[in-house]
Order: sequence, then C-alpha cells, then structure tokens
Amino acid sequence: MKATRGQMARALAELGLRLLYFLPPMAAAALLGVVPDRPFPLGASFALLAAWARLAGLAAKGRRLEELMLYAEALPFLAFAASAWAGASPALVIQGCAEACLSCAALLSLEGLVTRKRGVAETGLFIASLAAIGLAMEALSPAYVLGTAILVLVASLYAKASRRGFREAARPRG
Amino acid sequence: MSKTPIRPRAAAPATVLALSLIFGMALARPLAAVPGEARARLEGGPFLPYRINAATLKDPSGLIGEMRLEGRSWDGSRLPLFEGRNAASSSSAELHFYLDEDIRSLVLTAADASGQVSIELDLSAEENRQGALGPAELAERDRMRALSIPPRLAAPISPEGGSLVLEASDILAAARLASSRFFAPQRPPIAITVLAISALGLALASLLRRGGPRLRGAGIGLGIALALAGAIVAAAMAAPGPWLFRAAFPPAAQGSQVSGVLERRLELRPGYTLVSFAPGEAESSPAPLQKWPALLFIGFSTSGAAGIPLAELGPEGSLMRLSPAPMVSSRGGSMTLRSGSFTTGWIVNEGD
Repeated sequence: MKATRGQMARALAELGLRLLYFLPPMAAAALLGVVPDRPFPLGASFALLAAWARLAGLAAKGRRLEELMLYAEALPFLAFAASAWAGASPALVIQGCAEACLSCAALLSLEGLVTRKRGVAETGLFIASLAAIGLAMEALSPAYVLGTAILVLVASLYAKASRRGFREAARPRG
Repeated sequence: MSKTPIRPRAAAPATVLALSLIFGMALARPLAAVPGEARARLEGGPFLPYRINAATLKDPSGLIGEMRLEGRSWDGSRLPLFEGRNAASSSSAELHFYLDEDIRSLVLTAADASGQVSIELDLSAEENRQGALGPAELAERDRMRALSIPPRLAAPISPEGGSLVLEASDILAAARLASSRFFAPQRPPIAITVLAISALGLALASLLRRGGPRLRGAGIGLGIALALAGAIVAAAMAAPGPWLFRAAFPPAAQGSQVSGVLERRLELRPGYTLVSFAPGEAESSPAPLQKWPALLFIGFSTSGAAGIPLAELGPEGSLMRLSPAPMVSSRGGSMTLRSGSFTTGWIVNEGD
C-alpha cells in the first residue's frame, strides 16, 4: 500500500512537472489573444520553443527518450504560432513544421554524435545553433533548410552506425 | 579484365556540345520574351493616387499563369500591388490596384504563349506628359494629404469591446483612439482550448511511459499521435481569418471636433469578420447615417490567402489613403484585398 502511494505521489509529481513545462507556451498563447499587427517570424517561435524544450530536458536527468519527447510535445505550440502569429497558410504551416522537426532532429543527432554531456557550454552552444536555424528558416529558401537538415541527419546517423560497428568489431571475442 | 583507357581528346567534342546546349538554353529564354513584350499592352488610366485604379492587360497571344503588378516607391522599395492567375489562356485580364503618391512607377510581369512579359510604366513621367492637373484633382490630393494616418505601433493587448466614446477630439485624435484601442482582431478562443487539451493529454501520455515496456511503447505512440493531432487542430483553429474595422465619425462634426458615442457592431460575413463603429439611434436622429458615410476610418488584417472583398472598402471611385499599401488579389473572378501587416486608412466618399 505504501509503495502504491509512493508511486502515485511520484506520478503526480511527474504530471505536475510536465504541466509546468507546458505553462509558458500556454500562457503566451492565452495572454496574447490579439492577432499581432506584423507577423511574428516562425523561425523565432521555433528557436524559443526548442530552447525551452532543451532547458526543460535538463530536468529529465539523462533520460534520453523523455528529452526527445519534449521536442515532439512542443509541436502543437509551434503549429499554433505558425498559424496565429506568423499568419501562415495551411501549406506554409506544414512546411514550417517539417523544417523545424527535421532541423531539430538533425541537430540532436549531431549533438549525440559529438557529446552526451549536458553542461552550460553544451546547452549554450545548442541554443545558439537553434537561433541560427531559426534565422535560416526566415532568410533561406525552405529547400535549402530541408536539404541541409536531411543531409546532416543522414550523415550523423551513418557516422553513429559506423562508430558502433567499429566498436563492436574492436571488442575482444569469446 | 581489361580497362578501356580514357582518351582526353574524345571528351572535348562532348564538352563543347554540352556547353553550347547550356548556352543555347540560357539564351532562348530571354529571346522568347521579346516578342511577348512587344505584343502585350496595359490599357486604362490615367492611374491616379489615392484610389483603386483599374487597368486591362491585353495580349493577343494569350495570357497564362501568374500575373503580378509591383509598385516602385521613390525610395526604391518595392510594393506588391496586384496578383492574379489566368486559369486558361485569355487575350485580356482585368487588374485593380491601389496607388498613392509614394509610388513612382509600376512593373507588371505576366506570361503568355511566347514567354515572360514585362511592362514598366513610369507614373511621374506619364503625369508630366499629360500636362497640368486640374484644380479638382489638386484639391482632392491636398485633402487626402491632410488626412494623415495615426501611427499604430502594435495591436492593443486587451482591446476595448464596448462603444467608442468621443469627447470633443479632433478627427485625427479620434482615429488614433479607434486604431490603437478598438481595432484589434481576436484569435478564436477554441484554439487555446485545443492547446490546453493536447497539453493535458501529452502530460498523461508521459505517465504511461513510466510503466513497463508495453506501456512505454504505448506512451511513446500516444504522445507522438497527440502531438501531431494537436498541431493539426491548433493550426486549423488558430488562423484568425480576415477582420475589417470601420469607424464612421458623426457626420455633423466632421472636419472639426467630433463628439458622440459610436456603437460597436460585430458581423460574421462570408469569409471575414466586420466590426463597425457608428452613431447609435439617438446620435443619428438629426442626420440619418448613409449607407456609405462621407468619411470612414478603417483598419483591416488578413492572413494566408484569405482577403477582404474589394467592394467592402467603399463605393467605386472613393478616395482613400491606406498605409501600408494593400495588395489586390484576383482569385476565381473575385477581387480581394490582402496585406502582410495591419492596414489602416481613410475612405472619402463624395458620391452619395
């Protein structure tokens, strides 16, 4: 019975933490009930949301899956920002979200190849990269952003697989 | 296995052929545009500032595809003024566009059967060629210049929803009050509800991932599915749609101090929302409000491909001063107004 209560308490704490994660983007969406006069760039919304997901991911304490899910869970807010703040048409919302998802996946994959540490320097560099991607989303053609993201994603996944292969080959047999 | 040796000499003719093909293709495009340019002509005019102008693009070889009209202002910046699409080949197409005194020249780009068509028209040179402007036109331009557009730095965070009360303020101050406190498109609240529901669902799905391997897999699947569904529904619900605001100041007081209460009325029209501010029953009793008041202060915002019907701005021939200059879009035979940012301005109707 005690164990069940403990589990319940932990589950409730986890639920509360997760709801806290949604609080800032939810508050921004609710408080800014008015349509802005000038479109708010989607690249900026992406950089802010992904940076927030990264900072919230520090609380995941090394649980990689939970870290990754935080980025996926920010997707409804990104789609909302694209439609309501950037004034994008449905086709542009899909294109913007595809650019954001692939760029984020590429950056995470590249980071996983280089380091597994989550220090201040790594987080700072990651957020700076997100800002650069956000800028690229605004300044460059979607084909360049999508193409680069796919290239980096495939190359980093290949490098990871090769490294794993080398490690397994180098492991003493028997 | 023997390998065939590569002969550098054999590659030379192929390289020359490839280079000449590339050069020929690059040359063929501009050359193809020349006959089209000679045939296509823009009819209509004179194109005057502070009005919605109409023109006809005629091209006997048949217009196809996209058609765009850009305005070049005196500082060199470009403004999209019109865009339309010719679904089938037609020898003429109607264009409507807004002009003001900031626009110096027009550049029209279209396509016909023989290639790209480009027409440039210097408005200042055209006006000089036509001679001195008549006194009526000069007076109208002076009047429109005097109707400055009050600055609106940003949309009010919490717009006022009630009546617009004017207490002996001049007309520009009344316009500033209307634009900065009352003209604000609202986002549909259902989009926020969708976000809240998806956030709660995603938080509950994260709890599933704490269980065994089967629950973990279900939690991941549910989380991703909820994120995707939430994104689709939130984007669909959050699109604000076009909003048009119209304030008709009390007719008796125009040009001097305006006083009175303008009642707010919200109407959901097909494709857009109209919010009008006009004197109520008691206010309008001395001089009943016309269908199109003599002076209107308007504001509108559009998003995506949706726009405000052009006819909603005012009767044909109205004088108007809008900032920033909106773009007229022609889709499926109907003309709509679109703008990348919130547009405000004056509509002067002397016809009624």
